Amino acid sequence: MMPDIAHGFQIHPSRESSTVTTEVLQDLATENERWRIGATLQVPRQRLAYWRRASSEWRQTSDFIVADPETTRMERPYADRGRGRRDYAYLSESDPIANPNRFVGDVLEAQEQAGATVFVSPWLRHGVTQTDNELAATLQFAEIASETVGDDVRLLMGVEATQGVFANREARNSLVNELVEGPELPVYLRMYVTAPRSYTQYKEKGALEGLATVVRALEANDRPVALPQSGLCGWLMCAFGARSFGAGISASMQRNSAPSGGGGGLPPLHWYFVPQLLGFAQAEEMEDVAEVDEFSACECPYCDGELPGTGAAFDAEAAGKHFLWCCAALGAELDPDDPAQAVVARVEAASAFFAALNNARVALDSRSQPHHLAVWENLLQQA
Amino acid sequence: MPDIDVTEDVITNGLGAFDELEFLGRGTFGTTYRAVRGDREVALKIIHNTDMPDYLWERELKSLREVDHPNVVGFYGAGSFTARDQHLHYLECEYINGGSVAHNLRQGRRAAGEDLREMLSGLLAGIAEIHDLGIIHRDIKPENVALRDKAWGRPVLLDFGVARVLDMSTHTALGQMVGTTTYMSPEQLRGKRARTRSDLFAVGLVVYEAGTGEHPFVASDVVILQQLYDRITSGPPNDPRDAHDWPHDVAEVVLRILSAEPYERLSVARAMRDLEKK
Repeated sequence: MMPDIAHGFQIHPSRESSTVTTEVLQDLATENERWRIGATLQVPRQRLAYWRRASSEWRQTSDFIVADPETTRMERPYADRGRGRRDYAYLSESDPIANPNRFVGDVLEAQEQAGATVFVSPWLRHGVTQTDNELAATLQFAEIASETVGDDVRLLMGVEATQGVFANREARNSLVNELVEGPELPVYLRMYVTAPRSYTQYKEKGALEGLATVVRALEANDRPVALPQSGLCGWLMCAFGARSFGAGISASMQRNSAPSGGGGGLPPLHWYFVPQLLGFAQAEEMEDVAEVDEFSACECPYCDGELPGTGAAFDAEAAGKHFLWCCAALGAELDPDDPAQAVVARVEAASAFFAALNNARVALDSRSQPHHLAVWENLLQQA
Repeated sequence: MPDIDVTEDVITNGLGAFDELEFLGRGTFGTTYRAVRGDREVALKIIHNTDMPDYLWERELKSLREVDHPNVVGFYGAGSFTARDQHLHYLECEYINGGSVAHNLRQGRRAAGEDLREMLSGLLAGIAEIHDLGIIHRDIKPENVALRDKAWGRPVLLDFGVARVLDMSTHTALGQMVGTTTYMSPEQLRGKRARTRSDLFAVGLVVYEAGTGEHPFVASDVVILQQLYDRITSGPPNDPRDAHDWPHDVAEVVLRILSAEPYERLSVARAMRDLEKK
């Protein structure tokens, strides 16, 4: 059955406790019932009991729950496959390609046990080796999964490829050509980015153009695309037809806000998401940013019209929740009939806001400057 | 394996006498006759060149019996016989009296207007039907599109599934391509296997040719594969949207399904939807 993939935002708990997700979901549900929000649990990262409890809480306040099987962990040694490796049979699989039926069956079972309401077929990362073996296996897994699940089950086809595949025209076309001949399922698509710099938005021009092409091509071929763990880059792709995007706190730039502990390294920076910039600035910079006429303070439940505290007063968890709230709000702005309009308007407004900051001689740290906006604006001309 | 010599004598020696046995033509895979025995009239195709075991031949073609669609030729059965020291495989299909697109083109006839729309719709419906069974035709060309009652708007796909079965035999294991080069999709020319969108491309070629009287990418019988590939990536030289006798939506769909990249052709279902919208 072709699931109805509406536009929406998907929260990933990432490294923080599932309680944070629970609270954000509750707040979103209370204040904005019309926003379509999903929650993701990453199956291998926690024990089964943990996810069962979390998903039962999330079920009350989310529109869907994805139990992401993160099957690329199969590349790792068993001991590194996650805390849940003893609870889920698929994480013990020695060779998924050699035993596809058993592997797919175990992956689907794990998702069901963890409390998923939307299922994802397993995948292997394409583009890591010089062959198409991983892609062929991914398509085979999706075939098996679609034959295994009942008609009433919402199933997505898990796919992941390296940014190199997306950036290379031939490799990208080949990927899409294979996907459109595969099962007619919505695609749960990840672009694997090596060595991300956590405090900047993704701005690799070639890979972004490639991702946009892939998203548009899949959508045109009746395969709606969900972009988990893609952050604002995923939101940007909604202009090209992506149906949903996902982000978590520690998967965003907020990761730098927690004390590092153990000594060594630089002191953590306190990043705060500035919706007007579509990027992050340091909490210490926000007072200057707020001086600009075009700035308006965030009214989310975690900011409540106030700027973030600085130094010891900085609340990393509240800043993280604020980011998730803003992502949900950006997702809610998308008009299903013309999602590009809202994205283009937001990116143009962000550029204008940055220009206003410059005019007001507010000098942001180079790490806080929205270098990505020029690339994004350029890309959106093709939307 | 050398080509065999299929004569009426060989056939009657192997399959017994027929009331009528009329030679219809010789194609890529075999020689076709109209055969009548009693009140049963069939198209009998004798395969030229296969060393596939008999059980495999019959088993692989069994699924073709499931097709029951006005735009796909009815399949009655397959078998084998030995005659004059030759072991031959054959197929029995519905006989369609109306000639083929190739025949019409040779006569200098062209399709236009609503005939083009009905022809495209019919061919799309036909390949959708066989794709649903998991079969890729792989050899759609004007010779393999018959016309019921000589009507452009009532096309019937012939020879479906045969290319796939023959591809399984050792005949093609030596690196030969199954299908007709000038009607192959660019991905097949690049050595990739044919998929649903390869059939879609070939449908585009046939309809383009039916509507313009010429193959969009091949001007003569001598074809250099790289040249053909390059022409396909450049697109057809004449835009059917500019032709007064092409419905605009039909021209749009045909141009799209002639795209070099399979994903750009979109799907068979999408092409059908786009035609129905008008």
